[in-house]
Amino acid sequence: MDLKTFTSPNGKKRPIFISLLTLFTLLLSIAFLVFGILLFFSIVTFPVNKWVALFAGMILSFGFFLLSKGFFTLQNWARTCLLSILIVILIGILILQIFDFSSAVFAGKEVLSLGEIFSNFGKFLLKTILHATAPGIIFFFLYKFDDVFSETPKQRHDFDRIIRNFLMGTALSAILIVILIFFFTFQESELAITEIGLKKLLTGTIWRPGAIIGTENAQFGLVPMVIGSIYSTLGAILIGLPLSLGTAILLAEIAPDFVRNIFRTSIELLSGIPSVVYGLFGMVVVAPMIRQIPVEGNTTGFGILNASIILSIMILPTITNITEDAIRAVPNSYREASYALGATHWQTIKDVVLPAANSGILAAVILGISRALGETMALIMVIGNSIAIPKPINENPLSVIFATARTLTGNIAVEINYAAGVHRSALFFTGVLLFVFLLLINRLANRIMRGNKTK
Amino acid sequence: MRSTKLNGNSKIIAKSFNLFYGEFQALKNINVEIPQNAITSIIGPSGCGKSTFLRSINRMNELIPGVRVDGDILLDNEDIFAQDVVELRKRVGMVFQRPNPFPKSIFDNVAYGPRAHGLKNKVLLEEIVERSLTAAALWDEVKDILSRSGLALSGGQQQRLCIARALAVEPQVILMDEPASALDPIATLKIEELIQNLKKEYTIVIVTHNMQQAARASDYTMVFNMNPDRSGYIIEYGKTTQVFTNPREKITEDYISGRFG
Amino acid sequence: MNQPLTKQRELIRLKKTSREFKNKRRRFSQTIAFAIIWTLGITAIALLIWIIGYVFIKGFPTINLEFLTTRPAGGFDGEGGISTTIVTTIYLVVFTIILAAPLGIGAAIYFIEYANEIKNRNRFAAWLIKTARTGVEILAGVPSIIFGLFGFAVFVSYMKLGFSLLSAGLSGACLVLPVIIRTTEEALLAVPESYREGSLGLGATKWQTVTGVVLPAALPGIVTGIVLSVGRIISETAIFWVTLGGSYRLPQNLMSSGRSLALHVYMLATETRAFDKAMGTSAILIVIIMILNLAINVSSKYFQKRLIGK
Repeated sequence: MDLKTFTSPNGKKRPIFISLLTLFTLLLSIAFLVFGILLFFSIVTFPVNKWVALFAGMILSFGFFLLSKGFFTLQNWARTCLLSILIVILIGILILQIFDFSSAVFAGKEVLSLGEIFSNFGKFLLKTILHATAPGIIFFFLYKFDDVFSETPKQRHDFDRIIRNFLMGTALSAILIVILIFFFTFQESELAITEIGLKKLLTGTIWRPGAIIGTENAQFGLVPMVIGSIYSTLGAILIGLPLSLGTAILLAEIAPDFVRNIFRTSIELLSGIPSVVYGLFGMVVVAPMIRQIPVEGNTTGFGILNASIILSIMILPTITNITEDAIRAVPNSYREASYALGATHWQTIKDVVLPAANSGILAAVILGISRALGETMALIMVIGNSIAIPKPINENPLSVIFATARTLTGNIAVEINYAAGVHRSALFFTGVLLFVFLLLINRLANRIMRGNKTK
Repeated sequence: MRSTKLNGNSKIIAKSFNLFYGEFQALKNINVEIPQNAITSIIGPSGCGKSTFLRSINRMNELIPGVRVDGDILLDNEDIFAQDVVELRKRVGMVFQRPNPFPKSIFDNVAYGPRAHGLKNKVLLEEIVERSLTAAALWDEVKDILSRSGLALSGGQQQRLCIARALAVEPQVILMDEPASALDPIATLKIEELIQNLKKEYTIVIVTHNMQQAARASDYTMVFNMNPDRSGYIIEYGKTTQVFTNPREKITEDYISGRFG
Repeated sequence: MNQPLTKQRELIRLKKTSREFKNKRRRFSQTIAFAIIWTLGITAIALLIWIIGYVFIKGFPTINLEFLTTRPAGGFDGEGGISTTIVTTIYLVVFTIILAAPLGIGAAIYFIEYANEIKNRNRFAAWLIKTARTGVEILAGVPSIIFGLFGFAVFVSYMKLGFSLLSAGLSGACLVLPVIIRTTEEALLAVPESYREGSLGLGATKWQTVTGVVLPAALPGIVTGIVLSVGRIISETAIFWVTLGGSYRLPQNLMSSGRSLALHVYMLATETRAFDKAMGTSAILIVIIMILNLAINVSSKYFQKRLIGK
């Protein structure tokens, strides 16, 4: 191949810039090889295993050699490759500089004054431009010289296939994560199962991890937490279901359009409030209110009642949205038939629409339950976190709602940071329990909803 | 099925071609020759496989899962199933029933094909866009608004845009699936004129429901019909004048005179 | 029929009144029922307004420049402000999205655009794809504390990354992955098939069709999914409580611990008496989420207009 007169497949002459690039990548290739060998024979030191250094050097060297060959023959893939590498380098430089800048400005006790911010920003700009000039120039020119490069249809095809396999990899990542979650949480909980035993875990009524009385007498019964979760979820459903159902019926059947819009945006807003804020609200507003209720033994305002109230508001959007969809999905022909027979609107809703939307409403409730059972932080803040089985605080059995409790989720969150050994394993077991249980009811709800759609 | 033997000037030849959607046979034993640089129309009652056959020529049917083919289709005496499908579609372009311009500018719509095939030179691209839009009789109407979205044009203009887009990759064959059925009469007339002009350089195959259109605008005609088992077959094909004035089969005559279909 | 006329009239009169009576009764029950329903609905909205209103009223007074620019200083009275928490939250969001978006969008593209051809040729691949789909569904239903537990077990403990941005980001990415996959899938499905046909008919490869026509058209939906994920990350507490730690210093690199806004609210509420500051931080959180939701609404309308014709 005559260097001077080589023309690319689409007839253009190779510009000098590209020749320089070819040379540059070739030099890099040689450099990596040399560097790898030097590191291997410890002539130069670098904090890396010498075999790794050799291997990496060889691979990088080979890669850059291919790249230089690609540039020599003006292949399109070489250009795309180098462009991608340069983009990564440029973005990396930017991120590092941003990190530096924000550390300088925000790390102190107080954010720096405006003047200091400006001067730091100036430094940031300067350093970025300094580091990014070389790669940036190469990138710019390479980008411009796009019509000198070409690719064959076969190359395009191969690239397509590579992309397809790569994308399949990302798709499999989802299931990989599920498998990993299963694997790790099961593995961590194994210790608890062997040391404590399933029976004791699931039926034991005392939870007293060894931190207080020594590991020999530690007890790990989950029943109090199970009851805590059940009571609070039950309470949430009792309060939340009428509210959600009513709202859903209102929106789907009765309210005029502009009211609907107001309600819809409000509900969307409601679902966007972070759960901690609910917890805070429960602590600061609901607890004092509950304290006012003249019931014997009611002192703190925290407990199952508090949890039920805020939990019900949290699951409101979930249940309302799905129920509303289910009601809307009931065919109009049912309604028309009912009206034609002389029934009132309410009778139609009560006797025709709601029964027809039955499965959707059921699915909505199940999903609401699943959401309630999975909630953690807000409940920790209002339910009291006592580790005994919630008991009525006076002779009236209903007063159990004023008792404090702890949920399964809360149990995990509160103790995981300092738990060790069997204790920690028991917490993982709780996680596994929750995971499996919620999995089952979610599948159930999805199946109900899907069965509804194909009807 | 009887046919005229063409004088070896066939651009596309189908030999014992069958197509199955899973278990259902959609095309049975198709044997036909499509001549070069002429307009061949495909007519026949609804649902007897006309579009299916058309889409087989550029292997668009492969996009449907469960499709199976049997027999050969040759383009310039080469088996289309043995070549790279992407290259095939460069040589055989398609215009669809409903205009489907991309949500991009007019320029980018027409330049999409050449760009996809690797052309990046801006000057060349501009040349190609102008040439294709002129050939599609659209240049004068859009030359000042090339950056506007293709979706902003009227239906007839959009269809001409799609034709320009197909022309830009410089195919040898253009397949059209009822190109004017979604358009008003005036737009339809423009498209028909356009097609007449195109036949000088391209081989054109049109599926049409409009028999008058087939009669007046095409050189050769292929008549499809449905078997009792719902598979499609060709009753006859030949010069349009012969098929319409002196059809060889009775069924053809019935169809043309409107006695069925 | 053969009864005396008066009795007939009597019967008709009785029938009429009983029908009227039933009508009146039915209409009455409807009125009561509707009244109850309206009450329920308005109560629901009233609760919302109460919560947001209270947080805003109690929270906004504590927000001032000092609050925003001072670092939290711990202590029983919750000294300091929220400067580092804001920056940490931004770091967290950016890092999580960088991890989750390419993975999620890639997976969705595969499911919608490529999976169909493989399904018919290769039994094993078809099964694999179906399992992957179920995997996404399962992930979508897992509560965040489990992700936290997982992140704690894998990243903090096993991989010895400790409480860090890295652990938190990786765990957060697992959390939002199903959201991104779902919304991207929906966006891709909404792209008309005619675009793909047109592109393939011109001889473009599958990947060229995806990048040239499908993705640009689906972009608004994809962006919506990402913004939703951002909102999710900002609101989350449980998962970061066990992976990020709670240090109030600014993270200097990916391996340092930090505190996000939501975490800060939790820690203020449970470890200090500074409820007003907690309210202030909550108010900021709610405002951020509202802005995000608004952005989604506005941008989708804008993109709709652009799609139809400049």
